[in-house]
Amino acid sequence: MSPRLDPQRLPSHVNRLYRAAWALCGSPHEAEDLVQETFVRVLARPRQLSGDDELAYLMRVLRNTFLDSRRTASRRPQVAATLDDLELADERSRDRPEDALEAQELYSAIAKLPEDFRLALVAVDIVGLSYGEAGKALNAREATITTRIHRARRRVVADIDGEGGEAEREGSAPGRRLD
Amino acid sequence: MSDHFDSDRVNADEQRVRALLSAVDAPAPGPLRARIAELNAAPPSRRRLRLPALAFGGAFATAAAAAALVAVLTAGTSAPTALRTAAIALAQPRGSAPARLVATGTRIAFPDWTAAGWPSAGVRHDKLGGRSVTTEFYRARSSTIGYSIVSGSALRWGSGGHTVLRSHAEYRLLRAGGARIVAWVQDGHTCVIASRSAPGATLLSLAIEQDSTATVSAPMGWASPQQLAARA
Repeated sequence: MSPRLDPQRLPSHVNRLYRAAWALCGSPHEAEDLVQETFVRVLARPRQLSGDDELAYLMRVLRNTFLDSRRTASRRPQVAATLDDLELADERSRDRPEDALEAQELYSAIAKLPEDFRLALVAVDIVGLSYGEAGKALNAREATITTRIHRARRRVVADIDGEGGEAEREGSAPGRRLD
Repeated sequence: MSDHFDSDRVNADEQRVRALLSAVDAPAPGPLRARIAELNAAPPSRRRLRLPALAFGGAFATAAAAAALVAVLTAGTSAPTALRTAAIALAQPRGSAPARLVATGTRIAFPDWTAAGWPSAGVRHDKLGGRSVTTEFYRARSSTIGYSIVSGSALRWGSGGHTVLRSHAEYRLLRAGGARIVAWVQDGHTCVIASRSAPGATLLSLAIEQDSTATVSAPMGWASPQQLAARA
């Protein structure tokens, strides 16, 4: 029988999931909502890990929650003023503006990646899964994850270091699905 | 596109990305950790139900946990916040207001601020994370105020801002995108007043006047809503 997820161990993963959520959403505020909803889903009832370790399981729930929220957001009534118009200064920017700027720059670069690239990079480089675990969590072959990861990293490095043209030649058009 | 990768560059990119990520300190914010801990500590049956209403102020993080949990469970997706509600309060009206408007899903009637110099300028009805948001707009000269009331239990405020205590009631003051926002909880529902043009003191004064749980007594040196409308 598969082991059960131990709720008492989950808070130790909050920081890692928050960084993963920030990279997925591109916004620290949305990341808070996403992590919170992920935990609400996970804790709603006892969970069997079914061969996953905790992080791989949480990554899968985070991914599903993220994709669901994106689908729902596209169906919501649009309002004239958006959350972007209301972006508040990040709390940490008051105390450590340099850290906030670096974090925002890096996570924004990741958030700009095509979705498949972004999920692969988040699963491996931020959550810390192996390529095999990431493939399982993201329903993709390990070789596919490897390819996506390489291209995702190339794009992020190019974005941060200002090598835009080279990265464009390496990757696909934004939003295009790649396997 | 070729699937061939230069192994040196692949390795360099991997090291660079990992170095960037490790150099960035981005821990989960304290309020989020508090909400997760609260959620985790609740018995399983309570994780799906509304937690009891808690006092704000010193217990803000705990209260936010309860409100956020309720919001998430009600919305089914990302939780609406006072800040997101403010986006609606800053939008444009879609129709004229009836003589007496009660916010959908609540028992809160919108005030008639005509005598205070803020006649109604229209209404709109929106959905935010599964909640009904009813908004009435008021206009004085060139200033417009949006007053939104959200059905269901109180929402989390969202990041930023600070809380003030006026006549034993809590008001959350936020500034975002050039707008001033006042949020509070009335009759268990989140109320938000927002404006891009009216002074913050006006918004707070109107909120205090409207909030039946607060005694209307402006702080020393504060003008009445009528005086503020005349200045707007």
